[in-house]
Amino acid sequence: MSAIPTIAAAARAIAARRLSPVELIRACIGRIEKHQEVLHAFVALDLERAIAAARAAEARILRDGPRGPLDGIPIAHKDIVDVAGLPTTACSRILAGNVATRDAAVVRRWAEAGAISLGKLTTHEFAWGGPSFDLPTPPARNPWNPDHFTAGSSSGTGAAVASGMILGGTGSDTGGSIRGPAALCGLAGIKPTYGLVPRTGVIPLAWSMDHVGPLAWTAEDCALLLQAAAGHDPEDPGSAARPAPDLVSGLGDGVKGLRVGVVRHFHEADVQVSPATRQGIDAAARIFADLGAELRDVTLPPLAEFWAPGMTLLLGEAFAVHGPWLRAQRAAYGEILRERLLLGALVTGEHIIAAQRLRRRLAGEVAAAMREVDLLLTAAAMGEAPRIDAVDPWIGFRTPSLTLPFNLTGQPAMTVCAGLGEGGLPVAIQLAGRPWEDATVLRAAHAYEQARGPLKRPGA
Amino acid sequence: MPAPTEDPFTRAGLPLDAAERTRLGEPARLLEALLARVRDGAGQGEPAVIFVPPAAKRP
Repeated sequence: MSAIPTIAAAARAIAARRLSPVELIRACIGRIEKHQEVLHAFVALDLERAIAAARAAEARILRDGPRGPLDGIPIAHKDIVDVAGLPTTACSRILAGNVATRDAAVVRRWAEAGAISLGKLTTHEFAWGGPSFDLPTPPARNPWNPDHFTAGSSSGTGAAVASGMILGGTGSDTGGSIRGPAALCGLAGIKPTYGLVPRTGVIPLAWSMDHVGPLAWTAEDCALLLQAAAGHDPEDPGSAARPAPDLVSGLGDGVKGLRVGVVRHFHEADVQVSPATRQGIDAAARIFADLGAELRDVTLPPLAEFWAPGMTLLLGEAFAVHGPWLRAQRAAYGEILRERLLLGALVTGEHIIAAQRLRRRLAGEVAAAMREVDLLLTAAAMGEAPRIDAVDPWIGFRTPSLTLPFNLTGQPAMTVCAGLGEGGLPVAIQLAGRPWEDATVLRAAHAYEQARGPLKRPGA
Repeated sequence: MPAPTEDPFTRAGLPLDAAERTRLGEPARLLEALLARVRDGAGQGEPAVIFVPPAAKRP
């Protein structure tokens, strides 16, 4: 197999019996053998079980046809997501030797849909501290240039999908941990509406802002993965007790008539993104207009107003998660996460409550602005990936985040690749929709990708 | 009753050594600025919804 296909293309080929799940798995394993030593995308491989599953899928599909578009599709899971029988370490010494005894909800759902897991993917320590060079395993590296950062915390998922080791994978997003790696690795990645995908079996970082979602090569692939993961799970108290919406059937309906609000001040005034990122957003706006959408500028509260309560809640909740471990085995953490978490001691109950009050106000202001538009368009990242050895571990404390606002509001937000910048690395746009309108975000992202045209994978 | 300590790290059961205190100096100042913004940003009349009533529909 010369090129790794998208999930949608592979599903069509498998259904038509032009592609064997065994052949597809072997192609992905070939990519792992070629790139893992440099990219460090995986922390645990489960290849024998994957090949056996592919053989079983092949026999079943030949007999009965595929269960659906994920049947026989190679995927993998971030190492904060439990896969029964495999270690869940969060890439931390704290959880050395921890082996999951049951599957996370998202793992079970993707497996029931026929997806085949190749193993566990590198994460920043406990989905927050990185890139760290003092953990049991090294940080993932960017397939577009291994000297550069993947962003995080779903760093291994970004590296593995971009390099064709897998066709899609799980990420988690508390402040941008799906959308950041998707942006810097040239992928699509969606943080769904809060409550759409259960977090059961996923190690928390900050319960009120944690989301689980997919990264994949295209928005269409994200839709297929998200559809299979979505739906209520009573074991997660943050899971919404409502039916999962249809995220797939309207994917090709285009954007004609949609109102797209460009949040220009986010990326032009509140922070300064790279020229290529700005050009990518402007080009995306023109594409949406050409496709029949109505474009207008939208003003939201400044990024800094989201940043302060967002960081307060992230730190306060993470301190509650990690306090017992910090007190018992503080030296076992990597330096970056340990020092970030220690700062949680400065967050008081008064700060948490004030942050929640601000959060409610901000969510109301965004909801009011979105009565006039169906989608928001802005940047997903400041620009191309920096060198991995030049990442400021305190950047999140110095500069407002472009992604964090939508963790606070809980609305769906998605990164899509907008091409390559001057350094030959990806730049990205971010689209956000109203809560529970994930399908609209995916539809717009798909329409944009169709108009933008296909991208070559790194090294292709 | 033990004497209350003014140091939040010690109070949390996580006393810092001198090197940590030095390294965390600037990040702590950055965080304190964010926390001050949060504390001052929520008006007295701002309602808080910390616990959603059980009968309420999500979202």
